[in-house]
Amino acid sequence: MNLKLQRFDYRSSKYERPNQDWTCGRLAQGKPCRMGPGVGGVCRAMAECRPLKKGDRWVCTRSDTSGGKCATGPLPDGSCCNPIPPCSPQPSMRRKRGMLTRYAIATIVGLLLIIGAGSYGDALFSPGPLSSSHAEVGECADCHSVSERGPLGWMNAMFSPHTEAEDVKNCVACHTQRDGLAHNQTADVLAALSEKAMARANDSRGPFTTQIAASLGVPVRTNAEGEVACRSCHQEHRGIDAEIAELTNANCQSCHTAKFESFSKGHPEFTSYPYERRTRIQFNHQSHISKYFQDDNFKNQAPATCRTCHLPDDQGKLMLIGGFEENCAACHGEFIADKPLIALTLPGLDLETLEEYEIRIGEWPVYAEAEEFSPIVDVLLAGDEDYVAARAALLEEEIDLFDLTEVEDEIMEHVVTIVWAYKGLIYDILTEGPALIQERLAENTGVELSAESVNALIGNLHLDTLTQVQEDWFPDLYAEVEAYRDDLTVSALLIEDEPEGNEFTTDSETWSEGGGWFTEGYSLNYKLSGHGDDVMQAWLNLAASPAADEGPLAEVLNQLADAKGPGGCITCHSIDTVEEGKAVNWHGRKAEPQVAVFSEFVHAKHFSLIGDQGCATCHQIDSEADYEGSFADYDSSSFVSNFKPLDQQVCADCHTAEVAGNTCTMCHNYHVGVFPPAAVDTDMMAAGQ
Amino acid sequence: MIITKAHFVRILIALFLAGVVFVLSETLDSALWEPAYLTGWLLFGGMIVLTFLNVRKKLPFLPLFNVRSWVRVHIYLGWFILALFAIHLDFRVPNGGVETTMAVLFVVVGVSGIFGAWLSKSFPRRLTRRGEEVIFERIPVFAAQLREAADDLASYSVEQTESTSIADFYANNLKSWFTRPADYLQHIVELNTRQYKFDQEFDTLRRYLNPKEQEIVDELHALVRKKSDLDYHYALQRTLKGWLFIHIPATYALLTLAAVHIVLVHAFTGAQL
Amino acid sequence: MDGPLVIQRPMRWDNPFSPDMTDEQVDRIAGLEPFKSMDENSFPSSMSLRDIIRNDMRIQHYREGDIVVRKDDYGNSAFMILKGAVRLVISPDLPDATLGRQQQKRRGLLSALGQLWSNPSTPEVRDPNRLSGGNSTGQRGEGENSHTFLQDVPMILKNHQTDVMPEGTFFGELAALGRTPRQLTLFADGDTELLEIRWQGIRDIRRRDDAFRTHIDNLYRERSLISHLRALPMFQHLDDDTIQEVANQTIFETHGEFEWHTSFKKLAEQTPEQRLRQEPVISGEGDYVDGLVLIRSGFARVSRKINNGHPTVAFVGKGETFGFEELVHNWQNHAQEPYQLSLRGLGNVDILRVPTSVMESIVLPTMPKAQMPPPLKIHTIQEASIQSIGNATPLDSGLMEFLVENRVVNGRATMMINTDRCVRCDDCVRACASTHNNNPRFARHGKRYDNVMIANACMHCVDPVCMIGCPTGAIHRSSLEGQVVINDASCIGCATCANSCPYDNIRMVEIRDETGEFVLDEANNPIVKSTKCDLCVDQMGGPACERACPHDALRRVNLSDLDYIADWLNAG
Repeated sequence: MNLKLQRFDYRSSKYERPNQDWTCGRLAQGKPCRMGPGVGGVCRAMAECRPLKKGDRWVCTRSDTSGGKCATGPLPDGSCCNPIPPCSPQPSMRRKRGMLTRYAIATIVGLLLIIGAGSYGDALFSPGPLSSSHAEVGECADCHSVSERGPLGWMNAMFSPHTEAEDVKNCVACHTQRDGLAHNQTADVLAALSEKAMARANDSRGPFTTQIAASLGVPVRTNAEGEVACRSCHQEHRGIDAEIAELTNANCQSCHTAKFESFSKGHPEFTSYPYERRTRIQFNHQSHISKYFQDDNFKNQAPATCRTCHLPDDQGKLMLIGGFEENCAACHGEFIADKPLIALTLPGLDLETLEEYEIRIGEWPVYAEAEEFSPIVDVLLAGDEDYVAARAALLEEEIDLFDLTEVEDEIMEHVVTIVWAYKGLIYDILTEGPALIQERLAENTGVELSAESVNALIGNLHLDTLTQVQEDWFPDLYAEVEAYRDDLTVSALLIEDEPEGNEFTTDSETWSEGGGWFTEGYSLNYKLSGHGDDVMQAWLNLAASPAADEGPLAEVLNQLADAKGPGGCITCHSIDTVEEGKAVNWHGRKAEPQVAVFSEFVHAKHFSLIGDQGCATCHQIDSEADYEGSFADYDSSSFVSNFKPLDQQVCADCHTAEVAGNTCTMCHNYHVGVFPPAAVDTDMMAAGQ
Repeated sequence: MIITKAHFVRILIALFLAGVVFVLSETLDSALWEPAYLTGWLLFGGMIVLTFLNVRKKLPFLPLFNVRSWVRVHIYLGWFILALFAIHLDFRVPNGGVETTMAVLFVVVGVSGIFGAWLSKSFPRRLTRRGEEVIFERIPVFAAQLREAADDLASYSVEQTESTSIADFYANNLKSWFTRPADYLQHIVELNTRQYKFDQEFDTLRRYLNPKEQEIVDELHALVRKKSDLDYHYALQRTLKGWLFIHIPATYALLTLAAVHIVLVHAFTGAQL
Repeated sequence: MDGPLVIQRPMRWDNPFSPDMTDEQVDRIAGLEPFKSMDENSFPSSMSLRDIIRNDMRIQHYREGDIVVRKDDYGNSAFMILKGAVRLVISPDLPDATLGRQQQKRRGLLSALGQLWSNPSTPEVRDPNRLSGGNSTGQRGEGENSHTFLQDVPMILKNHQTDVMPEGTFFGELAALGRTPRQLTLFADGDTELLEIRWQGIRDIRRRDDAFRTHIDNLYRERSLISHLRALPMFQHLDDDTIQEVANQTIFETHGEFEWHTSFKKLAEQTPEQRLRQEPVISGEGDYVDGLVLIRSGFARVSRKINNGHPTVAFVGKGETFGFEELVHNWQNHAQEPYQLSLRGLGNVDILRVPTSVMESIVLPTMPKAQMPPPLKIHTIQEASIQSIGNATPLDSGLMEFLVENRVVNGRATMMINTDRCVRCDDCVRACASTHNNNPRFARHGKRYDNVMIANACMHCVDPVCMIGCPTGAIHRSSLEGQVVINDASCIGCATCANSCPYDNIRMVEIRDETGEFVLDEANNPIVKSTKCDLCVDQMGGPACERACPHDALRRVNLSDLDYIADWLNAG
């Protein structure tokens, strides 16, 4: 049976009108009316035709296309015999779809309004949780200044100048040590660094994306002050576990002028790194290892491995050196105190000639025989113009004080001045005490010291010691000095015997064998207590102060900062020129956990990797280097390392992207400076309540 | 479904362009620019262009290229934008409220779009190969005709043969099936379980009929097949229209959210337009 | 033909041209020239001259100003003036509005866009004010017998050059036979009685009566033949005298009994063998090549015999030729190859045959090389199979036969839907509605062969039989590109065209007013209008349906360009 549902002729099939919004409600039953719904889905059907009265009878007027005249014909009252019961028209497929679309939009807008206006607004609009570091941040407005302006304000903000700088302030409110400047450095510093880097740059164009950025001319995004927004690198709202401090190599390369592809390809050679300054403690690895440690006398004291002297710091970064006692004293300990510090010594004079010419200088020990003047005394007398002039004149004339037979009167006068200056100094110290030293130092060098510091300088010098010196050297000092200062005639020259100690007591030198003051002849000396002697440190520190650059202290430094000087401190403890004056490096490099530098290396992490060569895998002694020559001056940067430059390839063998990683930030810090842990200010009064 | 080399080539072109955007995005990212502005605006602009298909369909009287060209652009721009979406999200699952909703809506729009494209490719051929080609809106009319014909046939069989075998069979097994479109899923997955069952039942019934009844039952069987064909067309044509009930509302919901998202992003990151 | 001899009266006489022809009227007409001088004996008893007069002729009465034929109208009847006179409009032509035609102009951008909001929301809304009055024409009479009359004849006489044809003049015979547009507009000059003869009658008389045939043929030769020949590439190189010579020797032939458009639906119900028998063989495969066949009107298919079947290789229509390759081959090679294929008429076909001798002696010797056809392929029995024929044609064999059987070959803008691509979204229908005041103008259903659906949309036929018999001339070819359009204002809803369209592509609609209520006439009958696709004649950019299809599943195709159809159907 060939059953066909459809017929195509115009009587059977009218136009289908999917363009209409409404369909007849009876379509679902398969019997739609021919009228169809009106505008807005109102049923308009009434009857199949409107009968016409012809004469006295009604005739059907149903059209040909709707089936022609019906068989029954109109009812007697003239109404159609086929009334169409009203239906509820149904929306067409497309209208339903349109309505659904409108509902979807309305739902979205409604939800946004309801939730957004409520207390979950922040949560709704937040593009994701903050990283755990920022878990404490509560509201959008804590970081986003615009947040409080409300939806209209946001729309306005889209078109107003950007508020990034404003938001950076919110960041640095907590992250106090940072600012928008790259690496926390000024443009000048960066420019200088760039120049240095360019000098070392290899001919390379950087990673692929960097090259594209360069060819497209994408600049680094900064504000007018050249500041980079925190957000440029640190992107938040990526979840609690997000690494917001992570940076790609290409990120770094975008600013850096000397670009390169990767650590193994194009990274500038280390050259002097990490030996960028001389070591603070001068220790010649080359001579020690190849010479002294081979010596039969010291062989058994020589360290067995590098670790004997070098151990990593708590963070495992730096290799620190052990102390003197552990590492050096075995060989060097006993010689430290050999040479005393001579504080005051009386110059020897040609007393015969003085006597002959009846030059009245009062008492002066015959056996005083020092040929040189003590620089410490010079410092204390530097305020006495006559003394300074006398010292200068004697130096200029190259006068030998032991032979004054042929000197001119003027020189004689100078000698007298010096004699009385010495006596006056002792007199003044005895009468005024250490305060005088404090005062003289302040006047003569500009260095203001506390009483404690002065005491450190004079090494607890007891008044009795000095009184004993006075009594031994100038028994009549008080009368003489007072008479001299009153311009009275001083008694005749007194020549005394050399003072001798009590036979029952030990001499002062033996007494001070372990350190302390003693006299030797007409010298007041200080015997060092060994390594780390406080008096030496105090004098060296004073001598390194800015005041020592010129003036009387310079001579002190000259004398003390000498390998042959007392203690020989600077044989090992180098002196650096620093911003203000100089600094004696009493210690080796120390770990500074709060300081972030450009480049870091964590030694500890690599210990398990290095092979038979151990430290020498990287650090190889350079036997040719003139290491000691580097310490001739006070400049720490002009320097020849004891070691050969590091071989970059040693690192690069492992540090590839695939193996140990080669990101810039493994070794380099972006934020450079001192970053102490955020201190919390707690009001103790409030806390106690 | 006819998928030719040309389709693949066009998809590849779309994906290649997405690759170019990806490289650009990575470039900006490495240069410390936020590539999401670029990809986001491209994405939004692209979605607007995609909705132009709808606008074009509302303007059939203007010579604005053929709709088939627009559809082609729609489909391949769609592929491009799907890739762009992944790039914009940096291949991550978003975790903000608005963003997650948008991503879900985007996936709904994208997946329904791909599904729709597949339907548009595969269903027409199936429709061609089964039953009479009917206009969807007329299916209720034809279904009513078939139902009436079957009803009439059942009563006719009682009148003519004085047997109620066919009428009983009709009343028990077929009548309710004739009243509404049935077997939607079976037709979609091309599983003729119902047809097979009816064939079996008709075979069984035929054993108990006389020749006169045989004639009538043959007619009834033909009506059943016709109804099944009609249901088949109903199911497939409804699906062909139905996927747009997901695709289009989700699209506009997505665009609404996208507008909100754009305002939020520009206001809160402080990036001026 | 086997079986007892019976008088076979033409089937058309079951439905005579006019049921009102009386014996007196037949007598009266038979007594007039030219019928009076025709030899009754040359007509067979099954088709006597009197029967032709009775069944194929009718008497029509016209009053002053009634339009008889309009220029460019299609008609299938000729006229003879029995009483009174007919005036012909020489120049200038009457305006379209006067002839009941649509004002033809394309919309501009604003007007096109305006449809977005100006379309009413209910179907088939018309402005009732524009339904009546305002025209320069009026209506008289009912249904098919109604006449349109010119309101102001003196004005027309003043502004247009006209001429009068007196009693006894015969006119319209060429347009009727060749179904070509009328050349002039004619209207009645005072009360006039006309004899209208449908084309079958003219054809049959022409066939039997030498004088009449000579008259008709000479008329055709004089007026149309040369321009017809000139249109063909193989005659373009000839000068005026030579082409006249060719024209003089051209033979006219008519094949087939039935009008294609009335017969094919019945044929479709018959067996293939019966159908084959109904196809007149114009030139048979294996016959001597006696000339170049030129289709003057009607449709024919080119077939090739394979065993017992005659699969279609191609189809040809008006203005196309058959046998040229064979002719040239035989002339070049001094061979005597017969026709390689058959030309079979699909219903009635008029052809012209340019004899082989004329071709060989006059046309071919001077023909430029470029016009020569590709070398003839001599068919052998061994290589032939039905499949090989299918492979050689652009379209699949089944589709070819489908198109022929349903006479889709008539279409110039047939709506073809590829159901393998069509997602049934109805965007085409909605686009159509948007461009036609919210009314679709086609139905998205229709006959189907596999995945090719010929939707019920006007095909804008080569031979628009819908236009025959429109009493008001509302249906006509547009002056823009020849689209067949209906002027809604002058349509009286008689449904003649809808009934004439053999493809069910014209639909009658009940019109409504702005409120959506049906508009009724004084007899409470809804006013109906004839509607159909106008190929978006007034829209920018062509048919909206095709442009609106999202999946390239719908095209308006010209059936004379099969390669285009094949390319489209086979495209990915």
